[in-house]
Amino acid sequence: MVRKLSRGAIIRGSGRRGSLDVENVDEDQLTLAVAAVEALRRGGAGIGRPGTDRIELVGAFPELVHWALPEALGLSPGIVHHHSAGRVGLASAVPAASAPDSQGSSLLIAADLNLSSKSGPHNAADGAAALAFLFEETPGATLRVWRPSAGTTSADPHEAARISLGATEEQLRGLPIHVLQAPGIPMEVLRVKGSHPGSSPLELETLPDSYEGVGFPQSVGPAMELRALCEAAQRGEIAVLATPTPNAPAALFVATSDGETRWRGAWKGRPHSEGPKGSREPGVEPPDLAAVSEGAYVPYARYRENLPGRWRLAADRCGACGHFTFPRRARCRHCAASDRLEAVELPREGLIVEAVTKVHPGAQPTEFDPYVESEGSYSVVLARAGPEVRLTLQFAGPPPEIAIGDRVDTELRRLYAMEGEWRYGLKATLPHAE
Amino acid sequence: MSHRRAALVGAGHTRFGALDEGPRKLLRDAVDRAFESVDRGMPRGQVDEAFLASLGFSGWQLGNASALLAEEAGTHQIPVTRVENACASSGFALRAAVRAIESGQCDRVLVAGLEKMTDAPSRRRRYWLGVSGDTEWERLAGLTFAGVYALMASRYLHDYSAPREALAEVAVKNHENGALNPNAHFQKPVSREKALSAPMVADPLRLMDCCPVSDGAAALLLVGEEHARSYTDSPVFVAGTGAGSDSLALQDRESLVHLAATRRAADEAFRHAGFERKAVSFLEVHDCFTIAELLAIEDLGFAKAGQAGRLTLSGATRRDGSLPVNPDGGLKAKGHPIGATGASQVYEVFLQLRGQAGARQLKSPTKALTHNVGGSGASATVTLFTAG
Ligand SMILES: [Zn+2]
Repeated sequence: MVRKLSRGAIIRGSGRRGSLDVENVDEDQLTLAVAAVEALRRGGAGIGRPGTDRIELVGAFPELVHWALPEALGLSPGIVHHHSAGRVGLASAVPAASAPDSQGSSLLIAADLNLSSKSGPHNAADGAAALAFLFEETPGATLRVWRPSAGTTSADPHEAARISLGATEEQLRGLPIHVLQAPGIPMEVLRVKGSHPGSSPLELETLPDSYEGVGFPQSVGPAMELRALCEAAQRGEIAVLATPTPNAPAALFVATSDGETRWRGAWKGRPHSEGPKGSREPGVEPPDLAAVSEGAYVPYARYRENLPGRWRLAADRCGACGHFTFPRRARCRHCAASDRLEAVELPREGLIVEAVTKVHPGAQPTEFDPYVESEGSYSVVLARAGPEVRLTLQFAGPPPEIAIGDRVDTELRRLYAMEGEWRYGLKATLPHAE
Repeated sequence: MSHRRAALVGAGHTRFGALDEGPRKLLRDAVDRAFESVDRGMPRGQVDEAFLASLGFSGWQLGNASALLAEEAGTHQIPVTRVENACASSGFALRAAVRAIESGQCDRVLVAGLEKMTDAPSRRRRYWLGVSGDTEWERLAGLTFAGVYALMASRYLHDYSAPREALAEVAVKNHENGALNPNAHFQKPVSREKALSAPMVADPLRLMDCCPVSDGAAALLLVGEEHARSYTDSPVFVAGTGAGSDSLALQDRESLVHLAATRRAADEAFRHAGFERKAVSFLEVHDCFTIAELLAIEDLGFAKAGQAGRLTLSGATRRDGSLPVNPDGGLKAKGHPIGATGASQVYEVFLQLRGQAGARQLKSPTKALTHNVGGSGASATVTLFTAG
């Protein structure tokens, strides 16, 4: 069975654009990737252990993503495959994600931070974004990649469609082919006239150089083009995306659809011509990272040990008395039983605020100095995650208008840095849009 | 009383505040003053055992600091134990001393509490504030103690529709008392307006709701009751002690608006003492933040849940009220050198019950309570005293 693209979601980091690597001190490719997959889950996608057996990553991810991403998503370790940034990476990630080598589903995640100054004009964008696609054996868009051989100067949508789909000229004859032309690829590169008289009519569409007025970081722009391709495939018989790659005039992504492809997530952003540029270079770590490590010390081993709790709210439910214990203590907090503990994960959404404070500059632990220097005050809530469980959560982003009794959701974010490494955990957010 | 009681026969106290003196000098001064306060004197060689209470703030002599006390007290080679329960360190050191005497193992015990906080650069100081909270789940979610108590305050004001002014009134009252205490860090009254408009630290707590970072030391001398009269005609007897503990992190506690450790400690102390709450003349409670004084009054059993604010606004907790609370200015105005605070509270009891509190002397008190809390309530002690 070939895995088909069944749904996708896009996540955009909040906060200022073009500053501090890059959108917000507490976000990076890892947190955006997790957020994009969580958005898919909210849309009803069944992503879980052991169902998802591949994660194809497109973009410049930090090294820790290989263990951290499956950990954060509750998936088996060792399933992350890394592809280079941009269209080249996408061209190798798509076949891998749809590879018919097992029964599960796979995720394709493209994420990038501010790389605008180094990328081409059409995808120049400040900011951070991630886009996640789920490939599974359900009705959806069948995606293939076809690259003209090296040295050719033009790309033929007919040929791409025929070879990719394993069809004959005769089978294709008369079928309209919807050609999406990525910005930045000159029209003359496409062999659109003359080569196949009497063959399929080509419907040409030039994609905008930004989406809803917003450009995209390097890997996400092409992924958005992929989204447009799949949408086109749902409308027509065959869709081909022509997109420039460094080694060939164009890679042609071919899509056919045999069912509904659902897309979730809305792009919210501003035109990339607006807004001030931040003062920091992209990718530069917050200053004084080493000094921050004088903070209350949590050895890295203990941090790793508690990640299931910190990232996925792994708790124990007591088989003897039914009470929940979080964080896990290998013993029921209520009746002290240590056998018959059942591992559960507490809900990460719909937590109820029981107490709230706004921490003003100077009242933060020293570990949070870089955050406060960059972002100012922040809120902290105590929120109830279950009958017997409360969580202490820093609020992501500027202090919100929030009161006792309100609902909050959670997202994985950077918490603080220690010994030169970022440590991650859940922060509270306003409720995610349905 | 069937058991052997401990009697307080001497107490010493340094100035609290941002001081030039280093930790050794502070310790020496407090201990010297304690010995000087013994009416008929006590040779240092008589001390059996000693306890030093200190967090070890800033990391200066973090380990084995107990030896400092023996050196500075001039009581060489006696056993000294350092007790560390954060802000409740000297409350627990006192409890250890009292139990050593009650059990008959010791006859004369020295307790000293010490913290030197202001000589570290501000960043290191801020680092050390909050090392006694839950590190993994609370501090690293962005909270220091101001933030933790702010969460409790937000819930308290919400649950009981308590007026914000009640918090300010705690500060106003304690500063008024501190103005009469020559050892206090702050010796100036504060207006209600100033308390209510001070810069915000962690909503709803403003700067005037928070105790300061202070240096200081206090020392106590306790003896078995049968020896008390050989040192003074007016000893102060320890009538009962109690202690309790609770989860390190607020998120794990049963309630956000009371401290179970305080409740347990108070119940144990009163059971031990054998008298009722109404017999108590005044309270020395752990008001590290103004909200903490309100919680303490309720958890100690002197007001119903949610009523301490109204009690405070009524003036009952002022020095001339029916239940004076923190006549020495409390942690709020007197200052809060972490390891010294519990002993400092007992120093005030020593003065008040012997009629030696000067301008802030209460009208003939006979029984007193001290209440010392570690962190946000992970540990607490309550001690009851009776004038001899
Ligand atoms: Zn149980």
